[in-house]
Amino acid sequence: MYEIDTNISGTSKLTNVIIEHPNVLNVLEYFNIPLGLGDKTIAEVAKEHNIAPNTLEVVIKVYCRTIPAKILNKKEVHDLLMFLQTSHNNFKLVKIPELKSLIEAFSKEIPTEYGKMLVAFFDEYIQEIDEHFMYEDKKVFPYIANILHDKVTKNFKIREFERNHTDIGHKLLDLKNILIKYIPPSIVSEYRKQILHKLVNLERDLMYHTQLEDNILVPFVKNMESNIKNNK
Amino acid sequence: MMYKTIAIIEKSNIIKEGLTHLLKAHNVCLQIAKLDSMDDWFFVFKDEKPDLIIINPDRLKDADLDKMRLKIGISDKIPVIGLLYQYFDREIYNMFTSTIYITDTDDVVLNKLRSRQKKDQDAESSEKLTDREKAVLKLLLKGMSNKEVADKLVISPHTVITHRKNIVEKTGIRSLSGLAIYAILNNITDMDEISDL
Repeated sequence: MYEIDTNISGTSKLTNVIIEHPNVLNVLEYFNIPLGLGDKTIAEVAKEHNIAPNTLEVVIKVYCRTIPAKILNKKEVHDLLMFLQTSHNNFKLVKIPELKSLIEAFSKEIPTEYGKMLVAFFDEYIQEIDEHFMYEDKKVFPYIANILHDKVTKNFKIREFERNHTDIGHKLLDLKNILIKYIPPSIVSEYRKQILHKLVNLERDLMYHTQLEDNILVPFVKNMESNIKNNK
Repeated sequence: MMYKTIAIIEKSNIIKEGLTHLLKAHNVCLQIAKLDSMDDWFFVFKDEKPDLIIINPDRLKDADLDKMRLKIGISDKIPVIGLLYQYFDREIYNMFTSTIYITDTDDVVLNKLRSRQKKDQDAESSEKLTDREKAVLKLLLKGMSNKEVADKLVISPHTVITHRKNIVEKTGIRSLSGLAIYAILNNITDMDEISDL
């Protein structure tokens, strides 16, 4: 049993946080912070890697399912944006391909027709998520980067992103159900468990990612939009 | 069956921790989410909702439970239990599925939660698809629209939508391509009966 509350702050030792919440390892990866943390606190690690300390704290808190402070300044949002972008790259180039090759290996150990369908199903998911990331990378993030320099692009508003920000998790949930409930026990393969572990991991990671976008990034941008408008 | 996630919404740490301790000691659920106020709700819950909410009525905005359900998008199937130790109008605690008092003994609290659990379990329908649902699924996988399925089975499109909702609820699979795999694995349809989805 775990509880969704912990007292994490800038002065918490990062090592202790990771021991309690292994999900935070993903945060290190996307911020490009190597292990070998010693007794450094979150704030110290942030400083050492030139990351706004509040950003690192907020991201870690979200990945620990705790409630972060909401207000971020421009430098902090800039660093959050960097984090989200590197996460996208990692999802696209590492996490999803890893899962794909496991599914392919699994598909060879099960009756061909199921195998083919599983692979096709996952390919469909990859296509969906690629489109989703592409939209954010090409349209949303550049818009926000501009806004951080007080430039508002005319033909886009963050509201549009809010409306389009669809749920990308449900196919992963479908796949989990298929693997756990429906592929019969007679099909024995080590890959099944491996896929599930990776799947759960990716699902969580994407959930925190979306939380950062919806609950930290969007409110900040909305605020900036109305400030810029009022100053004109 | 245990609860998966219970959300406790309460300001006092003493009460919150005490209740958490009790729930943990008796293995009532897998996870406990502790929130100071409803403002934190969307940080903790997005797609996945708790299956039970325990809330101090003073945490409810405008003392309106229906409004809260609407705002956080939980159906009235999810029980909301009032946690009471202050004075409230009777009207307010009548809104709740059930109430627990801090003067209740452990057994009383646990029994109230367990009797909820039993009722919830009974309400859950069987997992197996009915013949009608299977027929609808089979046609949908052929690539037919709701309307076409309705015409074919001589039912209203609205009924088709209800069947679809039940299929998704029972199988836990939302996408048609996922359902295609389900249908093949369960011999509901054949490979060559499935169109490109």
